[in-house]
Amino acid sequence: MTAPAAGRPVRALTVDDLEDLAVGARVLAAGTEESAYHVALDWAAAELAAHGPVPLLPVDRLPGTGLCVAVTLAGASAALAEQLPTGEEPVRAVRAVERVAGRAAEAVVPLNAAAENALIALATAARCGLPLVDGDGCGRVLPLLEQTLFTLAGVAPAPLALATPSGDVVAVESARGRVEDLVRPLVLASGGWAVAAAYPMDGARLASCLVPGTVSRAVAAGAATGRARFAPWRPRSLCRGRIVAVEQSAGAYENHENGAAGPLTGLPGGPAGGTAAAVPHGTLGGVPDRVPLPSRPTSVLVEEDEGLRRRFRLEAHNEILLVLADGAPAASLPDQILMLSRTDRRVLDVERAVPGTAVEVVVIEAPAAWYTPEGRALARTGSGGTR
Amino acid sequence: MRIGIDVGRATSTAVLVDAAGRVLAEAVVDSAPRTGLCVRRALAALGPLPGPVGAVAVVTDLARRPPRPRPVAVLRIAPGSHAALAPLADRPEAAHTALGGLTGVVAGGSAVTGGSLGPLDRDGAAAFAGRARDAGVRVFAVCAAGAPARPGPELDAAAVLAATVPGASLSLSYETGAAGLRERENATAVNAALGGWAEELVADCRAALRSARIAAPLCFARDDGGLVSAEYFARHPVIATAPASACAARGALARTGLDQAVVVDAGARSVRCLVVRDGEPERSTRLLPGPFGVRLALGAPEVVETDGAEAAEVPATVARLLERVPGAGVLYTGGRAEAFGAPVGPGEPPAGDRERGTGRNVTRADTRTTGRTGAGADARTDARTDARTDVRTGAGADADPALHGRYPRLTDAARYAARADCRIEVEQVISAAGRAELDQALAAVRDHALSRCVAAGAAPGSVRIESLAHAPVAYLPAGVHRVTVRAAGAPAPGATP
Repeated sequence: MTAPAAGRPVRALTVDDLEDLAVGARVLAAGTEESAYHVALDWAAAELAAHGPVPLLPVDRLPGTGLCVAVTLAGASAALAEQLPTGEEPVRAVRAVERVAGRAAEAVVPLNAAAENALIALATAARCGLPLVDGDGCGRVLPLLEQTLFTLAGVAPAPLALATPSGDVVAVESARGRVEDLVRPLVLASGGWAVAAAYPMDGARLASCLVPGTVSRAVAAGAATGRARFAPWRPRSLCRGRIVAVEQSAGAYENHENGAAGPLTGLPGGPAGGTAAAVPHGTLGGVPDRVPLPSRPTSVLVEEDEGLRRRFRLEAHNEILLVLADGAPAASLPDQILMLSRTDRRVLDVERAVPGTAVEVVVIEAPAAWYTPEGRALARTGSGGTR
Repeated sequence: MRIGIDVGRATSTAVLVDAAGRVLAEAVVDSAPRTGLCVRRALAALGPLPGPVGAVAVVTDLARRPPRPRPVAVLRIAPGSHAALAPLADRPEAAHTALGGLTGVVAGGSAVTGGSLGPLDRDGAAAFAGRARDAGVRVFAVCAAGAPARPGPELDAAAVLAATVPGASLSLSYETGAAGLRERENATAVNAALGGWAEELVADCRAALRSARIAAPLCFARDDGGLVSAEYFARHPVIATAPASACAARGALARTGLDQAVVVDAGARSVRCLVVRDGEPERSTRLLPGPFGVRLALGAPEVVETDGAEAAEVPATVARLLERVPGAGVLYTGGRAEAFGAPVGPGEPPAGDRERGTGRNVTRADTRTTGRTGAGADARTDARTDARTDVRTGAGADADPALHGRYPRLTDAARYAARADCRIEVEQVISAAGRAELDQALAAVRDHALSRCVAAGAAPGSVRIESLAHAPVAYLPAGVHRVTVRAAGAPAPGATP
């Protein structure tokens, strides 16, 4: 459905588009719990059915001085799959940010357009009666709330509001860099997930730091099949093989309790090997400012079953952060690295990686801003020297 | 000695193997509507048994004779949710009709980390049980949020239900499904609904064994191909509703000595194709519709089914599946294999006889015919209704070089079942603050899996852990792990009750 308007037409997302958006949004999601994905899908479908189509705002149609609010799932999709949403969470989170900001929101933007996050943002827009911005704040997926291009552009995530499935609403006002530290215990206390509304900013500001077109790209990708589905992201295949081992880093256990970050934390400028387990806590590669990642690291070993028959080591910590091919760096943050099931070319959840699974490892280039020194630092450490 | 019996829609096959897995006798008979009668006919066709039987394993699909499910009262223990996510809201209309629509939600349950979401609303649970009793429903499916991490709320609710409705039949989700509340709830509801079917099937088959004077433990094949005891099957039928293709595929691989292949299970009504890798049918990463079209996440093998009218699509399906297993061969099982490109004859020769050199396993055309190539293993039918029997026993079958008898494709599933182990799979979510605690928690899951395997019919001295996989749950605090364990063991000796 389209509505006539000056300039580019505003498209509206309908229930018919939802399935395509859901499928396309999975392209960037390396840690999607299948059950949670269906929760978000059914939830968004119900909101669209109840409240009607959601206008999709292209970047050139953003409200110049109107308030835009980013929305995302905070926490684990596995938790969402167990403790189901009431449907009130998004509107409560957005209203809380509006109260702090002192004005009403005019648009909702996905913090990232991957899997549940795209669907929850759509459900939020439908429930709040707001348009959804065709773009997102990340262009890929990174684990921390502050790891966004909004942060790189100097926009703070706070005031931020969390709404939990238990009915709690918590507004956070904080100096930049403290949000993740404050939010994570709240999310845990709420059962492992909440809806976060964050990065309130004017439309004009949003237009300057948004990764544009990512929602419509996901819809288009979802309508395609096979390799064409990934074509918009121009994926580079690293290897086709099978998982031969999945390992957890023993030493990282204690380090991570105390705040060591992911496997790349110790790398000053890019992939050079090593994991947090091998780096003494507190002096990681001269990057003292870092935010600990949730969960723990996992290594996935993949043996190529064609060509050079190399052994690939994927270092994951919520997302896949680094790939070594026979010990040599093959890809690393800020690239988005995905493991695809060769059964059906779906993105595999690292949690579900088991030996014997046939996979293809692909790399998708992140938006250019992630490749600046500041972008790389933010992707690696969660702070990016911005605090 | 052990016996495997594959009860298909139109044909049933039975295979008797010795302790070394050699085929001592085999039989192919027409199926009857009642599974017990199929078993009886197949056993009779095997003829006099040369000694005591250690176990009888039955392979049969729910779809062969769809049962009338029992109406189920589904109790969810969790905080309230969006109406679109209410208990069983995602099931298709047909399932509503089949299972009934009595559902309830009471407070309680746990988060995925195991943290309590509040005390169980016992009064609410009792009131729900009373409503069910008043509606004449005595079968309950209980699913608590967070049950894979903390089953306590389900056990507490079960006690309340049992006290309110004495003699109630209870299915608890922590015993049935994995993480993901809705799919686990669905699986528990389907499990509860199929209880009557399973109990009838067990009784029917036991009667058949008794009439054949066989005093041996009865087992049923699971969807992934392992076995479980009749008692375990009666409590957990949802894990054993479509085992035929997995068993046939495993049998075909065992027959040929391959460890990976695309297997074409060709029946008269449908053709099912699946990928087997490292001897294991490849599982779906997606949620699949199970019985009554209800969406489940039980790790069932991914089977691409083509009905008879669309058989021309089979080669394209095979080509697509071959892309997943470069270098693998195509194996055929079932009675109509030749119609889909299999060499005419009794089946692929063993690995030693296979031609190699093209990167794929190529079977020689075999011009021998069995006279039974029109009969299939699942819908192994030529639609004739007269009871036919085709038997081969004794040293002749034993002399077969591949130990797979005279009708190898036809008896793949039964032969596999005759040799298979009991097997279970357990998925849990554990929380551990440090390495030592994690190791302890993993050991506990391991022990639980071994106990469960014994409960599923395995001999205590034979149970072993086949695999243990665990990984941190993404985006949760360090220390929350998802653990999946598989355990297996030989069927325990015993007698048919």
